[in-house]
Amino acid sequence: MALLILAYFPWAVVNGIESLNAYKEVTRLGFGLRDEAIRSKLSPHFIFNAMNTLTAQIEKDPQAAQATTEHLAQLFRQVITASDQPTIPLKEELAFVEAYLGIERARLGERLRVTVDVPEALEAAQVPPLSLQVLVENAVKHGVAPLEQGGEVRIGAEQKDGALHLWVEDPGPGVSALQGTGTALATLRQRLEKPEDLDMGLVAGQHRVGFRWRQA
Amino acid sequence: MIRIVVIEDEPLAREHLVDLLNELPGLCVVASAENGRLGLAAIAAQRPDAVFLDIEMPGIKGTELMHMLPEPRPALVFVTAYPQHAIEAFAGGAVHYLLKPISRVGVAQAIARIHPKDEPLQKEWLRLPVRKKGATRLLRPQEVEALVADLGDCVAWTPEGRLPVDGSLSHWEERLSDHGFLRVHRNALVRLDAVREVTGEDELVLATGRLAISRRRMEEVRRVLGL
Repeated sequence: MALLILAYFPWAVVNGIESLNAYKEVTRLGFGLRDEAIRSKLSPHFIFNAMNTLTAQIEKDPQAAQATTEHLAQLFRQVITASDQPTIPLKEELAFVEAYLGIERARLGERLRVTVDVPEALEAAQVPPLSLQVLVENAVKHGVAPLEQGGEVRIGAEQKDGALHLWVEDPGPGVSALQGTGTALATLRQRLEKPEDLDMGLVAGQHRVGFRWRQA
Repeated sequence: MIRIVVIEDEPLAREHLVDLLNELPGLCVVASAENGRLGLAAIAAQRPDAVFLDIEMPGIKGTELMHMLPEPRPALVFVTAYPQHAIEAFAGGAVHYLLKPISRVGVAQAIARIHPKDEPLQKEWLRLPVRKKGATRLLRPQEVEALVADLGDCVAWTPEGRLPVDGSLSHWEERLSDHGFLRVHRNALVRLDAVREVTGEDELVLATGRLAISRRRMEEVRRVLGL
């Protein structure tokens, strides 16, 4: 259901008259996406909250509204077109994450702070689509959003022993993140070569979740 | 005038909702808060007619806050992205449910379900209505020495006798506190300058009769009377 709505949205807006055909096409595409993690990736909560942000911005700050629309379009495009591929370049995954964070930053305001520390040399590395996204969304939802004063999400990466290691840190308790996102993390773990490629722990007081992806 | 408190953690969403509300006639957003904790403080300070409440918030969630509202409870309108909590919200006494993205129509529909509490009255115009055949007799607060609840009805003690007054005792307690009335017992308000005597048995003697003071109110009565 979530995917139908999100997939239908941009087509319907752009192509009002042909929306029925577009809808059928997108529905076909939508059902083609088997990966449960991908299908649930943009949750109804996220989509409707984003649209609420957009509605508010249209009157107050049209330029910000344009930015939010662009971010949404980028997310929808990625979910519709790229998620069938087994892997994508890290650069694309980061762009997706940036679009997602752009929307969440507009929504949560100063409570959400983000640091991305990924060496440029690693941008060509391959990662499963939406894999980093899963971790970032958890960090925002369970690590930052529940805190009155908000907090910082840190994204980092390094290459070691032929594998790319990606991680996301947040100031949350970690425990709640595990409870809330069992499904998403379990799905990510399934996609990894070995279960222990997914790692969780505390680093400098921040809750950290990361994974290793061997490069061909 | 419907007085409203808005509780929503997202700055943009909060501002937008306040703007949409303020466009409507006959209402006024008296406070807005960014989390449940500050929201409860605003409700306690403002005593609004209605609260527009987000559900997913840091700290106290909207569905938790609804069980922490003071009496008299303001009307509750939930604002949320996804109606998974609808049943819980209505069970908790919500009058309406606004889905994000919120619209002007949605806000207007929510407002239509809210009825303002009585207008705060100009102090000098306050009257206690006594229904008589074909007319309503209006008593000035100064004409009443005490107001006593009797099986849900209120009876005003006046020099002319004891007259039935519309409205509950707590309704009148709020309004008459500005007129020198004090609750002296679970079932009685007294106009303090009508008190002539305090007996050793914790009774108040008025020109119109005697009233018991409950033990837990005795201290306040003595303090207020300077005893």
